[in-house]
Formats: sequence, structure tokens, C-alpha cells
Amino acid sequence: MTTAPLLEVNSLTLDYHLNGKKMRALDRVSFSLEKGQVMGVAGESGCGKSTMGMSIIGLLPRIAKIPRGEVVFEGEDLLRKSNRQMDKDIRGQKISMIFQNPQNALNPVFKIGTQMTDALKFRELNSRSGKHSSKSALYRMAIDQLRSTGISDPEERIRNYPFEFSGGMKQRVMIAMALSSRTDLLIADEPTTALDLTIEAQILDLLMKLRGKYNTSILYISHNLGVLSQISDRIMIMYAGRIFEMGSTHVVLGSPRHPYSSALLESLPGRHTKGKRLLSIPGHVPSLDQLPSGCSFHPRCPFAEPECSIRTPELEMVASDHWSACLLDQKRGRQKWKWI
Amino acid sequence: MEMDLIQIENLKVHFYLGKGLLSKMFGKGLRVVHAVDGVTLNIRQGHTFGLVGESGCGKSTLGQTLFRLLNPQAGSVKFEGKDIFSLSSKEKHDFHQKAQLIFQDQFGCLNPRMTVGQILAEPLIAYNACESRSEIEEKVVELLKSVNLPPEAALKFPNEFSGGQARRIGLARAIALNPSFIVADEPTSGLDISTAATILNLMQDLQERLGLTYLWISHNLNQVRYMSDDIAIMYLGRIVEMGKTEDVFENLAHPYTQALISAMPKVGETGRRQIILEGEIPSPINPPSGCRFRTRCRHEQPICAQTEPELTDLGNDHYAACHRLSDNLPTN
Repeated sequence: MTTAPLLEVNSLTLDYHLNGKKMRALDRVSFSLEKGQVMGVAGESGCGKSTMGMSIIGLLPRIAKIPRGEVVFEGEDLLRKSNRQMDKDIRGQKISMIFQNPQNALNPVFKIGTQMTDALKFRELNSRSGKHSSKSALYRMAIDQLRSTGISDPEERIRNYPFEFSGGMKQRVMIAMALSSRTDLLIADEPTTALDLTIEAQILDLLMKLRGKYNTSILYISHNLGVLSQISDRIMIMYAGRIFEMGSTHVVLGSPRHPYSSALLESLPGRHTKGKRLLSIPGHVPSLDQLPSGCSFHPRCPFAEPECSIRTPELEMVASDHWSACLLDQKRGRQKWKWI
Repeated sequence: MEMDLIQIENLKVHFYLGKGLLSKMFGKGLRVVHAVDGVTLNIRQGHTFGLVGESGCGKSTLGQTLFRLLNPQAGSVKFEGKDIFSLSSKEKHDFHQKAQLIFQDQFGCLNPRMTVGQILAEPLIAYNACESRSEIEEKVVELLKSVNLPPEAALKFPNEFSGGQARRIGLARAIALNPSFIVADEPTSGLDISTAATILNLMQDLQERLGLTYLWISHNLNQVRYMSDDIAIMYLGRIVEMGKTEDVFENLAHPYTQALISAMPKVGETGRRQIILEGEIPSPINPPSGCRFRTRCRHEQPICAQTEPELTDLGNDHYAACHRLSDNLPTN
């Protein structure tokens, strides 16, 4: 008997209610994440990958309603917890999140040290019956955190304002604030998209080192399949609020079972495609209030059969730890999708 | 023999900070940003030249200078053999017909109060490219068709389009006057994978059909490798390596290029050894003495701080600027 996973999301469904319209942003999303594992979430913009991250940590706008599903974290359903409970036990304590734009996540009028010690104080107040360490002790902890993320001269830098830090350094500060020995799950929403290539490599290296140190699980949201291929153990491909394919990273990216995943890989420019035309999937990602019937990808899929527009495929296991939501794949078994 | 459409020689573009009154009274005095600092390169006609580098390396400044949006402090840029900074006003007019720029911000460069038809008609009217109103309308529809947009798009406003479509409108405007040279500044930044692929395919088709020459500015190495015939890698205002794209990728000579390419995330290559560079790009206001890359380089030698390495010919038009190559220093 294996131990229960750290996070288990069960048929999570989420609607945005806007101007009387109901838009289904997540549709029966189910997956689990083990302790210390990195799960990559890939998909094009608007596929619901950020919404999923936000719904786990409970930071949804008011127009979002969750009609069904559960987010089980360490045996408890987070969706049933009140906002107060989430603040006290979960957010910034056991689950942390880092965002794409570190500039917007830091307050420009407070020094880095003030913001970091505030976060530490808040964490202590919630965990240790209303007491917190002295100011100088908090500053020492913040300096240690900065040092562990590779910022040189942290005693000096802690007195700086955010504008005195570069983009890469701000993201390091965010990681320093997000990760501690108590963090079990880090949700990273495109944390390196705004950074340069060599700085991105530094940040990814840092994240992987800290994961090794604290055994933190990471839900890494990105549209960059290259980055995900490099860091994640397992990966899911999302489209229009649904998981289309999921499994261990090298299997999904190496031999995809869903036509959409294989199309994404074919449209990447690179060495092997030089001189050839890239694949561009016909049509557009559907808008959420006008989702096609059946499989939401069928209008863009050249392999689609009449059945695809009627029946919605479920995510089914097609090989060991390899899941795919395609009727054709489930009916006929493994085949190569010849897009070009 | 192949002709060079653009010849850039020892181009320097500097920006001056601290010119204002307050800075003069209280500030640190005049500071100079060395955005482009001595760049020499040639762009072959009908080919794509890829310019790669991280933010702040001067690649966009270089692109804008080629388009005469900025004035250089030194050096020359020759377009079809003529220096573009000493043109008569008639020649300037002609130059701006032949050279076009595609901007990074796909919505920012389209006037939100003009319909797409008006946007596309503007260059045609400014250059008297059409005789009558109906001819302009025909040409606009033809332009939309060449970037795979329906004729109805002419009546819509830019905000009604997606990012990829807005890019295609920018592209349609760029080719309206039959240019020979297009500067594409990060033409796919912010687009989804499959939309970016559409733009790349389209730009290749247009190049083939119209014989265009591209200067392709990007930080996406995979894409530059796919698109370009020649490539130059810039660091802090200078070219560190240059050559035919496949030559450069096969025989990486400069330590910066090696690190950059090893940092490039690729699908299906896990557990690869990466070279992780320490530190960040120094400020172009105060670049390091000697070799600008030495502060982050694994192979720094005493000589690197003293003299600036020149681009060395490694054969087959492949150049790199590193003391290890020119002075036979140990290579590893």
C-alpha cells in the first residue's frame, strides 16, 4: 500500500459567471501529485492552467463558482475551508505560489526586508499561538533566506527597495518568501517567462536545488514545453479547461497519444524541423462561452470522426501512468498522428 | 555573387543620461549608455539574418538604427551601397519604402481608432502607390489575403483581433509598399506555440514570394536557428560570435554562446549538463574593462581585463571575439 498523495484533485469543475453567461473554465480536472514531485502543466493561453493553480490555493475572483469537485490536500478538502482557515494553515504556510511578474508581486513602497519579515511574522503568528520572534531575529531569518536563493551580499540588499533589484533577483526574493522548510507545495505560474535565457536557467536550477533540500512538490505552469521537459517528472496537457493528456514527461513528450499534444510538439521550431514547414493547427482556441459539443478539439482536429462531435471523451488510462482523452485513441489504440 | 543588402561598419549608438538641469545640479554628471558599441556586419540579400541576445544587449537599438529611428554616434550603415544617414530627402522617402519594421508590441503599433482598412491604406496613400480609391480598396483586400485574413477584416478595429491576427495585420502593413528589407523585432513574442508557428510559416512564404531580406531579432534561439541563414550573438553592445547559423550552432566558439545554447530549454533532453552563468548582465552604462563578458566567464584570464578581444576569423565566415581563440590560450 503506497502512501496517499500530497495533493489529489478530483473532477474539479469551475464556472465563471459573467453578464449572465456561464463559462466553464475547468471541466472535471482530476490528477494527483506526490510528495517531492514536479508536475508540469502545459497548454495555450486560455486553457485554464492558471485558473487551476488559483483554485487550489483558493484565490479566485468572485465570479468563479465551483459546482463540484474536491481539492484534497493532506487528507483535507481545501474547497470546504473558510478563507480564514486557508490564511491560517494553508496559504503561505503549506502551499505557496509564485507568479509570472515579480514586479507586480512586490510592493514598490516598502523595502525588501520589510516585506520579507512581514511574511515571516505572519507565518509565525499563525503557527505558534500568536507569538513571533524579535525583529532582529526575523531579519536574520530573512537574510538567510535571501542567501539561500543566491543573492550576494544579503545584509546590504535587504535594505533595498524592489526597484533596485533586477527581474531575476525579484523572482529570487519571491522564491525565498515562498519556500521554507514548511512549504509542501509550490505553485509556480510561469515564473521565468519574463526573464532572460541565462537568468531563467539560474532560476530553474535554484528551484530544483530547493526542491531537493525541502522535498517540496511543485506544480509548474508554463507554455514552454522545453522548460517543462527539463524540470518536470510528470506533465499534463490542457485544452479548453480539460486535461487532454497526462503521464510521465518523457513518455508524453516522447510519444504523445493525443492529437493535440502531438500537434503542439510539431509546431515547435528547432533543429529537426529546419527547412520544413511548421505545423499550425487550423482554427482558434474556442472561447469559453462557445465550447464545441463533444470533444472540444474536434473542429480543429483533422482526424475527427462524427462521433467526436457527440460524445465527450473521458481521460482514460491508455498505458501505465499514461492518460489520454481521445475517443479515437481509446477505440483503436496507439497510433501515430500524421499532421503534416 | 551574392550581394550584401546592408553593410554596417563599426556602428556605435550611445544614449546620454543626466542631461537635465536637476541632474546637472545634483546628479552624478553625464553618463553614457553604450547600447551598440562598435558593430560590424553584413546582411545578405534575400536571406534572414538572426540577431540574438539577452535584454539590454542592444539588439533592438541596432534594429531601430537600421531603420533610421536613431542616430548613431559613429560608424556607417549602407543600404544598397548608400549611407542611410546622409541621404537627400527624396532618397529618405525611397528608403522608407524599401525598409520596413515590424514591432514587438503587436497592438501598440496599430492605431486603436483606425479600422484595419485605414491602417493598411495609410502607407499606400502616403506613397501615392494607387491611382484611385477603388484601387486602394483592391490592394487592401489583396494584402489581407496575403496574410490569410478575410476581406471583412478591413472594417474592424484592432481590438477585435487576437494577438496572432494583430501581428499579421502589422505584417500586411509592412509589405504594403513592396519593401526589400524587413526588420522583425521579436515577431512572435507573447504568442502561443501554434500561433507563433503560423507567423513563422507566413513570413517564410512571403520571403520566398517577394524575395525579402529579414533582420530577425529574437531571444528565442530555437526559432532563430529555424529561421535564419546567418546569425550574430550580441552581448552588451558588441557582437561576440557571428557566422552561418549551422556553423555557429555546430562549433560554438565563444563561452557566452556556449552558455546561452546550453541554457536553451529543449524538448526531450533531460539530464543534460547545463552551463549556468553566475551573476547578471552588467550595466551598459559602465561595461567591464577589456572583454565585457569576463565578469561571468568561466575561463577568465588576466589578459581579459586589459584588452578587448577582436572578432577572430575561424574560417568559413565564422567569427568570435575571445582571447582564448586569438592568442592560443588554453581552451578548456
